[in-house]
Amino acid sequence: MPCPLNGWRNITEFACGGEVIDVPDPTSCSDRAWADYLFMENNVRGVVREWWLHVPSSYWFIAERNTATDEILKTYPADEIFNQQVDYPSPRPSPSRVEGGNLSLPGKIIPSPLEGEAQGKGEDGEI
Amino acid sequence: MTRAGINPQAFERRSPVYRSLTGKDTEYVAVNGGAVVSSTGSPATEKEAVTRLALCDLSLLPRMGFKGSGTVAWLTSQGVSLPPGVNTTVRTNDGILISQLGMTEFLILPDLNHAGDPGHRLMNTGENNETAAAGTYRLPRQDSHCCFAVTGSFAAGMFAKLCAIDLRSHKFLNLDVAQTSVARVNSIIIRSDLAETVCYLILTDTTFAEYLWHCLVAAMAEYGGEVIGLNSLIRLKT
Repeated sequence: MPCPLNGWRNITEFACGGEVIDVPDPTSCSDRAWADYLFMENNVRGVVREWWLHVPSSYWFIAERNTATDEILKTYPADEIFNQQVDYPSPRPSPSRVEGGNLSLPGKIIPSPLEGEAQGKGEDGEI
Repeated sequence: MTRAGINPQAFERRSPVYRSLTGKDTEYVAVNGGAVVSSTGSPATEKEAVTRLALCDLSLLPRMGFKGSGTVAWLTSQGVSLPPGVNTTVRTNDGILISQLGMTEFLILPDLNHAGDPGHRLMNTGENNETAAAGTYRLPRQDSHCCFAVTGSFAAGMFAKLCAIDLRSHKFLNLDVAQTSVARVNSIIIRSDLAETVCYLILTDTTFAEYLWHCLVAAMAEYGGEVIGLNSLIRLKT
């Protein structure tokens, strides 16, 4: 595989990081959409765009690969398609924050773990 | 430096492979808070081996890395020259090697021509701070990586058994860098010739140091390679 940084290397030096897919806005998407993004694969037959890592140099890049023939068609640096800072709006206040902590009081809405995770990331700016 | 009679176990800082270097004729010098092997025995044997095939442990020599979007500007402001591109090295007038490992990542090693000198000022930058400057982050490499030198005309042939990169002199030029797998361990290989002698520096994770050391010793056996001390490298300096 041709690494954009290191040139041609044995495929054993690489690890696949999965498909390149759009990240849904974690502050506004549904739990179902977020879970779909985290856990589900499209598993397309044909040409796909994937994240690949050259392990010895810890270099992530994009590869276009035909999943039917396992032929690598093209590789390029990730900044060719990820060239803008993505800023999500501030997360909406959760009931736990408005009313103080995660106390399981009668009648209070406890946020789901997925929702809490998304909000935590947004608040720290670590998307 | 001090002379022989030094026990490496008397120092808090020890090479990860020091147990493999405790021959009865081994001599040490104190460098950078530890005991570096200066000689493994017969100077005549080492002198012959260093140009044919030899292995030397340099793990205790100082080294440092910097990374981040502001690194290029900061290093330039420090008055050091930068490599011409990724996976290349420059030997500066200050007596250090600067290797570029990524678009914004640099590794700083002592030039073996000055291996016994005190660490360069860049090696000690920002020891009390997280950053050297805005957008520049220190990557201390002293304890995270081990460092070995392989020298001699048979070195490229020996590496052909362990790594997929063609390291022959006309393919892998002086001051080239390869980040690749050596004996299935992720490694950085830097060619830094000493006078007319081909020399490859290998850096790999400290936890693999002993494994890789024994792999290299075993691979050298076919060519009659020897383990040598630092003095034999310093004698080659221009």
